[in-house]
Amino acid sequence: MAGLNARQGGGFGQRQSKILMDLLVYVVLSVVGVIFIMPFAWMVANSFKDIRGIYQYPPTFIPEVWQFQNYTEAWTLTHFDLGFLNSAMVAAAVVLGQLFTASLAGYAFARLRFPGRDKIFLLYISLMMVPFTVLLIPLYVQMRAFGWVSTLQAVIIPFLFTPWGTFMMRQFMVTIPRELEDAARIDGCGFFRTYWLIILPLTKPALATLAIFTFVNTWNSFQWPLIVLGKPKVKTLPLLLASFQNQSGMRTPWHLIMAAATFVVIPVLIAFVVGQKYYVRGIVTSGIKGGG
Amino acid sequence: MAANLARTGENQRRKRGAVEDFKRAFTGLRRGETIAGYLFLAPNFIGFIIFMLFPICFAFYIMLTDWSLAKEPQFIGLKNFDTMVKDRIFWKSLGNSFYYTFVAVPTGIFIAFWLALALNRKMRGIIFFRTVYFLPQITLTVAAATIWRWIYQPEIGMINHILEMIGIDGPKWIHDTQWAMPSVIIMSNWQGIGFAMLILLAGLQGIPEEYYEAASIDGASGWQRMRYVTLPMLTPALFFVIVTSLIGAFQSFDQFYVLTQGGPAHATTPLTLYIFQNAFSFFKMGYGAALAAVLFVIILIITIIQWQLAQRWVFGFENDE
Amino acid sequence: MIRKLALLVTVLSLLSFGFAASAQDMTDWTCGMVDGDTSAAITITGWEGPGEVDKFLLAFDEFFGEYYPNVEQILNTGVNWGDYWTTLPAQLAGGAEIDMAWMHDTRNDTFAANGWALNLDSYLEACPIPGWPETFVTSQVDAFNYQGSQYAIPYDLAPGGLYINLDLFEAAGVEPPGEHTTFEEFEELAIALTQDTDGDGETDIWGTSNLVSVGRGAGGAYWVIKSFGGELFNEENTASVMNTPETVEAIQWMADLLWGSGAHPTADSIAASGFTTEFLFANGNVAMHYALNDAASRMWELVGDSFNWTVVPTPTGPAGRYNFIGGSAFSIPTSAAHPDLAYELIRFTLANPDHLCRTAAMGAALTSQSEFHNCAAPDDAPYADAYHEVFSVIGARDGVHPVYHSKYLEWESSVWVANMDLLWTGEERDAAVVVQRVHDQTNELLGG
Repeated sequence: MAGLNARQGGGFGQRQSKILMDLLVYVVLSVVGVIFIMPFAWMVANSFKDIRGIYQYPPTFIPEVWQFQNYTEAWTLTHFDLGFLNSAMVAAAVVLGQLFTASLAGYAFARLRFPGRDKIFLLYISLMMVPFTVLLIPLYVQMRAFGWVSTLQAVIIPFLFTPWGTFMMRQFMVTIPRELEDAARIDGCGFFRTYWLIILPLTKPALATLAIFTFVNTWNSFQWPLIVLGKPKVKTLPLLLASFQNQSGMRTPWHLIMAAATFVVIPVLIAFVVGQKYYVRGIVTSGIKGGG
Repeated sequence: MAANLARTGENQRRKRGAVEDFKRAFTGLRRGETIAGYLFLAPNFIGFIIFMLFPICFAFYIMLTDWSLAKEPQFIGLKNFDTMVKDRIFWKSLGNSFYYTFVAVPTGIFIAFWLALALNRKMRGIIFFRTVYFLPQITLTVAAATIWRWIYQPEIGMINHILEMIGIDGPKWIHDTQWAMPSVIIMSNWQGIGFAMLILLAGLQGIPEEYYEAASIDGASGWQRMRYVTLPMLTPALFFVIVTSLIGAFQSFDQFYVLTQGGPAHATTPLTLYIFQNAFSFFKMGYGAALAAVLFVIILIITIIQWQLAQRWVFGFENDE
Repeated sequence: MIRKLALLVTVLSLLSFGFAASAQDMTDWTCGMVDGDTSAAITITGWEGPGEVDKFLLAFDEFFGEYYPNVEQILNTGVNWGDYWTTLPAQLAGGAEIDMAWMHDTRNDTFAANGWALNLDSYLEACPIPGWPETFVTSQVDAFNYQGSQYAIPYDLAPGGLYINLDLFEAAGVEPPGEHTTFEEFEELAIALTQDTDGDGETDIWGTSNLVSVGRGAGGAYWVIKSFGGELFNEENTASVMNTPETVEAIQWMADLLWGSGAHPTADSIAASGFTTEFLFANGNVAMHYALNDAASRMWELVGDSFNWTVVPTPTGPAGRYNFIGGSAFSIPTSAAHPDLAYELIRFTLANPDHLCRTAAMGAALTSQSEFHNCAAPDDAPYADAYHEVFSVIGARDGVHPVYHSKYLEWESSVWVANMDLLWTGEERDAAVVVQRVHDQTNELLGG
């Protein structure tokens, strides 16, 4: 009796404390959030200034003169339409490829038993510790041998395979209860069907995370594309953005760079918000229904 | 002598055991699983071998040479490592890499952890907040570095302006050899926290609801659910974040390159930047590759240590080979 | 404006009649090395972005349109400065076929010594560039000469000068410096012009700026060192000769601007950051701003009508007058697939009098042919006369830069910047200590 009362009371208090807690979280998130949003906001604000506004001292946040034409001017300054197309193709191909190869290998490392598994895993992980700097030239030589210099293959195909993503998928797959798989196997599912029908639906948050990461990294990738993509037709967005800069920093149209940087970021923002849709807690029962 | 023999015998037995295990893996019930395992690995592994093995082997050869990028590499054995021992800037940059990694990673993960917990709450507008904390990640690095330079500017910058209001005479941040590294750490944590936060968030989201339901039925309190469900189930994600953050920190380059260019007086030159400079600015590719090999070995050792420790605290790390 | 330009072009073309030898429309700017019907793709790479590169692209289009209509241009320009010098070697080492590459005086010797840049001597002999080398500024011709051979053809020169806020001088009741102002007088002027206008104890108008900067290379100090009578390396570039009282005095003079008189802002933006102290000058917070000639056109745009300004030469030292000079050029990589075509293109772009004035006017850059120097500042620019005098005449005459030997880049990064930064951040204020350290480490690097 006393226990029951206590629990009821606890329930009421819990609701109240949840509201209080929410409020506290809102306040903290908002205050800290200002620091996180500010440089982005500053970039957007600067994208509307004229060049004198950019160099104003002391700097002001709100533009004195609003120059909306920065966006049209930046857009026409170089082939951004082509750049978007190239970047979108590269990002889509790399994201899909990595999701496929990483989830397959992650499943094998997390769940299947075969000789040398953990050793292969450690070897595989160690590959991502090699500093990329020393791989640039040999990789370029290889791309030349394949005839891929200045083609999009050069920035897609070598990046479809990822130890990082494999490691991540493995880490998420080990938390999935084994019983689900066993049930599927008893129902006669092969390994691939089990992976496809049981494991993949349950790892949606991890897949979404990998997709977001890969998308952001590919979208912003600079060093390797700069070296291997010499032709204007195949240039991706970061290369086009960087091409606005002149040797003399002072002769660089910073207002146009800020405008271009803003419209280049928008697809990433959309990808991130869309990716959020998959951040729902994996519900095990529905997984079984889907599998059965 | 006898002990040696005994050990050899044991080794042989173990080897024989391993061979038998291997044979067993290809027969009977486990045959299917073994083949499936290799097949599942194949697409990833074959691709990686094609595109990484040649470059990596090449890099390992190059570290034993003197190569100016222009003429043919000259084989010089281990001379690059001999040079390294006497290289002041190598030791300085190695120290910087450790300093950066072991300050930036723990602070970053600590903040990301609490952020992920907060952003995991079911609240109105939570996607907005998640987006806000992810924004630095997608802001153009040049733009981000530019504003951070404004923030750090000693005479008119924002931080010192605020410090002045509360009566503190602020340091010169990126213009001071003592404060330059903390400045880089602050900026790179600001920029990188979104990644760690997102992975931990995915980890939290991936914990099946049933576990919490079961815990509730058992009458677990909020803290107990955290202690006995959330934390253990989050360990794989946490382990992943720690391992990859350490690797990433040792390999970080961009934030140094855009914010301080390694200065002042090499105060923020990490090994990666020094490798890059040697390879492509000083045209000492052989030496650069040797430096890279040292960095590789350091990261490998740290990762193996973590692997050993992981068996004590990470969920799903049982050795079922 | 356009009509004026057209008139100017016509007049100049007539003047250049002498070396064009025949009427301009009759001049064939090819060398007869390549078949006119040839269809090829020519790859061009450079660091300058839009605005800077346009003047050359116009000439490229004219050249191919006129002589090689079937040649396709693959333009990989706008690879930004820092990345360009790491990307290009990576590409060349990987065997990339690049036909023409922007070259800089700081890198010429390295590229020549490494065998990446083509020796142009045989081309210069087989198909001479009109006016070469006598109408080119000698220092720029020499800058791209390595061991007696030419490896690139210079297209501009970039001397240093002082941008002067005339309103601040008027308010302070002092006269702007000139060619014969000494370093001491300059310092006194800078101190007199430094002010705390709102009385909060913090300087808000500085006498001078941008003379020193954290992370800056030796070129920024070399002209001061020379003016005081110092030097960096011995003749053979195998040892340091820095440990002289003259060099120490020069460096101390620079450090004192920061830590002695406080006439110079202490913490500049780090080099190559894009946002440098130009904004302080443009906003009226600096009386004498040090910058190269290429800052002029943007300064004009930024300052607008907010104050009167002009350019003057940098000071004269006890050992004479020197100012910094830099410059860029066009080179042909040894791995080029179409070197003949590239040479003809360079020759047309840099020596055809029909467009040289336009080229100079479009970038406010000085082409290396001296008779077109006065096209560089627009006629209606208030600073046009001063610009010509300070940069094209005095700047070109007194220009110096360090010897960019093959170990220069490593030395600059690991010895010069690494030690000088301590002086510019104020952690060390005694130039003698720092110079001695640089001297020792230089000998270690060059001797070893």
